Amino acid sequence: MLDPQMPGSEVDEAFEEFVRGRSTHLFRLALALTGWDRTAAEDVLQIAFERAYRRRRQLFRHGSAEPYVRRVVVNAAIDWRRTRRRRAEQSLDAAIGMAAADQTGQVADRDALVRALAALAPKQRAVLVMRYWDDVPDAEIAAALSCSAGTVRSQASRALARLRELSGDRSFPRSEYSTRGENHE
Amino acid sequence: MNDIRNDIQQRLRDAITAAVNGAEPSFDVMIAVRRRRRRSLRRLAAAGAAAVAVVATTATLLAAQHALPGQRAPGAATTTLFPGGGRLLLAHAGALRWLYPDGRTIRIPGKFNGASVSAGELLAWKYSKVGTSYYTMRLDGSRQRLVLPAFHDSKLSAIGGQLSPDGSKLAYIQQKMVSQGNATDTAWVLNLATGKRTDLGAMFDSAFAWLDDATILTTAPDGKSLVLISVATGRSSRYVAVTTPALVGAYEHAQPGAGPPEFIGSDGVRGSGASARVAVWLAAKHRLGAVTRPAVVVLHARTPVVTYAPKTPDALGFTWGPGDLVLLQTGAGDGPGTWQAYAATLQSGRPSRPVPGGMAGATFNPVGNVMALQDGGTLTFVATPRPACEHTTRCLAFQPTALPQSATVQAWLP
Repeated sequence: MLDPQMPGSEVDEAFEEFVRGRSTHLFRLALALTGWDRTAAEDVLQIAFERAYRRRRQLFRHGSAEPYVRRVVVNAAIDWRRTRRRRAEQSLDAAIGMAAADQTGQVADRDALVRALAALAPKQRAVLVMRYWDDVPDAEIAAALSCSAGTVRSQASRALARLRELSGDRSFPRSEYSTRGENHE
Repeated sequence: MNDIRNDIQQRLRDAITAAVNGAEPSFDVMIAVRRRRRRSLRRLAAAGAAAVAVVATTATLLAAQHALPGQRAPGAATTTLFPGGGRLLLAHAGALRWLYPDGRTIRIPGKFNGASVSAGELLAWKYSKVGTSYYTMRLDGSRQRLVLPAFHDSKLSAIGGQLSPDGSKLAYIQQKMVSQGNATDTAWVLNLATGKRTDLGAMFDSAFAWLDDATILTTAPDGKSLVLISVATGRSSRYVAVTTPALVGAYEHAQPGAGPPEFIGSDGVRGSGASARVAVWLAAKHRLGAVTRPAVVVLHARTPVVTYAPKTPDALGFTWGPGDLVLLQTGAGDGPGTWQAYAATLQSGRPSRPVPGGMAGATFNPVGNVMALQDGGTLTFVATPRPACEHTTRCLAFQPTALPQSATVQAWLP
């Protein structure tokens, strides 16, 4: 944790170090959240870092800027998807391109999952990506999405069920946790 | 089941990792951020002159919204921020505040992400880097008491906290991240007077309700029945199951052709003792294994009183309202355009006409003649439709109106 009284130049250095260290990971998060739209992911990343830059003194005073930046990335990506989305199939093209580059033996399975993931509704995709790829605890996902942890769990459950339908995979379980609708704390 | 679940999580993880592998931003992020920042500053400067005119017209409203506790802003006497009277407990940006229709605001001291009202006091929670912590306090935010500190363990978190009806105990779910996003859930009860914690065992999902001050109603670990758990002993007994004839009959009557229910859950309790009404959520299994055609059956003494089964492709939410009123929310996933809210009563399973919205929740005003529908940070107020509103003091008629500020409603009290 940084000293709250640190001079401005040190805050700037800490911020730059954070950007250097985490920009690749956060860019990949943005890429997954935008349905593998590279231009949109770069835009989302810039928005997030610009906002974090404005608040850098407060952010580093409280330890890590990552939860805040992740939250901005997630919400900017959701906003971008909602304003752009006309049909889910739009995002499949980009997803196909990414998956096609994968030449391993599991290409078909990954291709189906990536395509299905890209076709999910933005918030559902955000829950799955943060939960299963980024290992973010439910409470932090809830904070990022401004909802309850219970809602995160029900979203994850519905998203997995939808993923199964979209990918045509019958080996998915009926539900990971709750089989319910919304659950608001 | 765990093997299958872990396999899916691993496949998802592998698929995403493979898809993003090697991806890097095509520019120097730091330079781009500085450039973008300069551009936005220029836009702000250009917009400054135009903003002056806007500020003049919005100043009255803002002043009303940010007035000191209990005070009314000058010139705001005639402003009505929302219909339905009472006071709203709102959460926004890590803060809680009470908002009155005339714009008066009472801020709850400290940073909190959400709260519920029980036994005449607030149960508030906050997220932080070290976990979720719970506090009790008076409705005005005074006498704050930390009742459940954060676990200071990134693998452990407390979710779904609920105070018992008498406010003496806190029930919550302890979620443990085992590995790679795989979590286990355990129900716990904390005696607020003694600090003693009791492990109530594994949970099927995060939904539970206090039946009375000594008993919790939740779903059995197999997901096929509802069980009553004594918080004193941790012993459980079956309440109803998906095979209970009365439930099967009520469900099949409400959802003809769906077949018998396969899934069950608790949607909360109204009243206590002999007068308690219990809402039971039921659903059938889709041919691909997914949940389909949900319905809510309200039981009194384990006998169906009424069943709600509005047309819905996916999710069905249920919220108890004042008196005989209930709220139903239906929708598909997080498609904002698919969510609708219905008002209904305990006298009839036929709900009122649907009103759009309510994806993130819905609640009645204290009288029941206004509904607040939450979609993201937007709160929209609509008049409770007939015939449900006829069970209140009077039906209102007004155009849907949105709260002119982003917030999430936590409670609506007189």
